[in-house]
Amino acid sequence: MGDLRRLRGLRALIEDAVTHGTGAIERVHLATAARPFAVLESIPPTAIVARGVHVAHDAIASSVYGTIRATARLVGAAATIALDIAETLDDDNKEV
Amino acid sequence: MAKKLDASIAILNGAIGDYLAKTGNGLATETTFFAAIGGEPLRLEPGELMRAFPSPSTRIAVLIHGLMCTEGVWQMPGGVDYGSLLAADLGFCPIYVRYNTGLPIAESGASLASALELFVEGYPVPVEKIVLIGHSMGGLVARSACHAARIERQRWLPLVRRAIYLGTPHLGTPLERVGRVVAKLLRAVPDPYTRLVADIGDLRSAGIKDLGEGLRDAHHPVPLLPEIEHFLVAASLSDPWLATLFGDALVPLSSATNGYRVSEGSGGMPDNLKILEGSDHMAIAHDPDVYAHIRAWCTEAADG
Repeated sequence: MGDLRRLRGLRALIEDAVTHGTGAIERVHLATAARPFAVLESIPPTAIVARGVHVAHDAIASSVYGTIRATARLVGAAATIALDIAETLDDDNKEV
Repeated sequence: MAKKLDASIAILNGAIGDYLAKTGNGLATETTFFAAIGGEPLRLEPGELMRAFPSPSTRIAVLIHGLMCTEGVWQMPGGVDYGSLLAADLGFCPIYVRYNTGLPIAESGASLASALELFVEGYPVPVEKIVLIGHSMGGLVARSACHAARIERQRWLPLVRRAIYLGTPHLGTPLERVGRVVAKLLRAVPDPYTRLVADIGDLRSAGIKDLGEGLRDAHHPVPLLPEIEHFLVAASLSDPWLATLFGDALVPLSSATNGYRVSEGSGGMPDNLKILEGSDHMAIAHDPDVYAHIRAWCTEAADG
């Protein structure tokens, strides 16, 4: 029981680490990319195109990071189900 | 294997234990008592305690470990420890505390105070004397527990005769304060990478952050209670220069001695203070020379 509780904790911690870690890296990525875009967006001949590319870049980057977070949550949910099954089997064995 | 896993979980709790507790994570350590190192956790109920202590002593020694440790830190070569030696030599019943060292020290202290109250209530015979022995952060937790017990008027506090602090940073540790300044500087730089590094640095637990100031926080003053006799052991590295700068490698001498200036001690060292030269912060948790002092101080407590 204690081991399963710890395994559940480990699962939650890994999921938290992926979620918060990708969130932090995403913020750094977008902030870093914003610098050259800001330069290009301040020059009238390239401003319109740069703004469009900037928006597309941020959308694509955010969707990639979002996909990583969603996958982590999905794997976490699957692991939770596996642990639920293991706990049920453990309880059944104890009753027998 | 279980010992290694417990040690790893203790390190994790020390680093981010407050986050684990806040999120209800199963890896968060709860305040637990053990009757022996490597034993099963004690359930603080009268029936369970009666089974655990078939021939109970009226004298209790409570051992509280430091940051990122478990009760395993007390283990000396030969399988003995301060608790088992006090049991054999002076008839004390040792209780080893395990707790989440990442929590704020005030929270750990309150949790220890509540657990001690349950223990005293459920112990098979009336407890007559309690000696608290804290290593590093454990000493601050002991002080905080006494503070909480005083406010709550708990039964166990009047039983505490002596408290022994081993390498306890009463006045804080400069390493944590340096970390705080570095994180602040990194955050002030308008760069996403340095802010990321500052964010990672700030992940350290509330327990670690509390070590920066010891128990000097004006919002949470925890004085050394006058009704308890306090004893301090400080270690100092063998190199005089390193000892001056770093004390026992983690805690400066001035902090471990609660402000006593060793160089100005003209009339000799006070009886309640011992400094171990050539030792270090972790070693004093399982050092035969330290035990000699603990035994002497506990002998007086047992007789008194």
